[in-house]
Amino acid sequence: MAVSRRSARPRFTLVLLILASLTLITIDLRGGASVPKVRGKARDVFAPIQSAVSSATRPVTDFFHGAFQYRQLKDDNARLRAQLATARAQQIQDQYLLQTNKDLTDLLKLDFIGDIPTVASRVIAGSESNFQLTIVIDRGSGAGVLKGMPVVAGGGLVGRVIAVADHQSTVLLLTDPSASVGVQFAPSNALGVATGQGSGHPLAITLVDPNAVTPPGTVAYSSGLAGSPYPRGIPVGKVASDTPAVGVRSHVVTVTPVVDVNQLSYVDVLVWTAQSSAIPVAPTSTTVAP
Amino acid sequence: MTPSGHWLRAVLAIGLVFWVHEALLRGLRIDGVRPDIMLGVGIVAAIVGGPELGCVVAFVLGVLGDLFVDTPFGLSALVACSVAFLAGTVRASLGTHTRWAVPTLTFLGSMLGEVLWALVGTVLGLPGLLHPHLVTIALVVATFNLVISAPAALLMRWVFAPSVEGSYAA
Repeated sequence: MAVSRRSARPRFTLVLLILASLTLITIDLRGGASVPKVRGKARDVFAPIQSAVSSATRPVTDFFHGAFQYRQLKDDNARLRAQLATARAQQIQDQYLLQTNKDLTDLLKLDFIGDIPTVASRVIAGSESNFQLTIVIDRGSGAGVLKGMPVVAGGGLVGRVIAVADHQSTVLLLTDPSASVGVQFAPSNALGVATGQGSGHPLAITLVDPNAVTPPGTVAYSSGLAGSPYPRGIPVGKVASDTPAVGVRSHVVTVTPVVDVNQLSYVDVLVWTAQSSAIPVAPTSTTVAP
Repeated sequence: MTPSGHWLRAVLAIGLVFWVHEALLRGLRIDGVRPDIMLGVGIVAAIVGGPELGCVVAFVLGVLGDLFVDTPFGLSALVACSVAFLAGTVRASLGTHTRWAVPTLTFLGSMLGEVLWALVGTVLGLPGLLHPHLVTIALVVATFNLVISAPAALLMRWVFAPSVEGSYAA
């Protein structure tokens, strides 16, 4: 009898812990404020330690990164040397084009963020989980960052803020499978929804009009339709492929993000939420040079 | 040693592992994958300390890990305690003289843990988890945990000294 009771006790403990886990999951999925608050406090408490240790251990982590990415780094080096040679040859022409582009931008009011104020932030960590594509930035609610705000960098959309602590925030990247953004193509004005497909993969597009034409190279912008979590006119990506779907009258369209979300150092958080969308943003379908 | 002494040691060990994971290893990515020593140490705890105590340690480590990600809170804890309990039970059935139990069960348990996380996450509605990249994630996490299984076992033997009923710390 005693032996039986002893062998049953571990199973009882396991059942208790599983029930506790399921309770925590249920509380979180019901969307209460308690879990984000606890998470935010924990991150605020631990952020200074993480930041200090991260700086001290960067050479070690860079070594591992380099060791496992050696072949890619070698390829990148060769590619960059070739690009540098081309860039030098085109420098004079680029200056002319730059001036022309600036003039046209001023003329057509092409600045895609318009008058929306921004919070400049440094990327302090990559994805904390292997199952969610996020970055951590060094600005939080103390700097005016709110959950849901869009994040941009290098001329295009990066993602949106999904968690905010006092001194840091977590940004869900466009490429995460749970991320989606309403897009509009130029110059056809075709509408669609771009959905992430994981790191290193282009975004998948679901077109509203299956017959819309979106040839490769076409630029996609955030559509900013009512209720959208993004303002209108932020460049999202360029069409990488547009192939007819097999068996149905539709297209399979993929878009390469304009921002390489794996190489981010600094980003801008747009102080904009869907509720504050009265802020005028005036891009048209021809706002950004491809 | 008194039971309270064991739990004090457990708290210290959990704090150390948490600090290593969230501070020292925070920036480390191997082929784009972040090592998950919280899962690995939880499994080792169950192998060394027995399924009951081990799954409690794994649960606490899982909850702490869940504080720093934005996936469903409690999901890592659920997976960690389940896998740790399984590993501890398998270890108990192997007898006392099994040299390779710690590394082997840590490796297999870590792989199972990552796959189980993706499966339960999918059931909870998280998209895109059952992807070929999951194999890479599981292999990298399992291999890293295999490497740290020896020092983790030393730490857990210190926590679960021989007086603990049902442990294999001796």
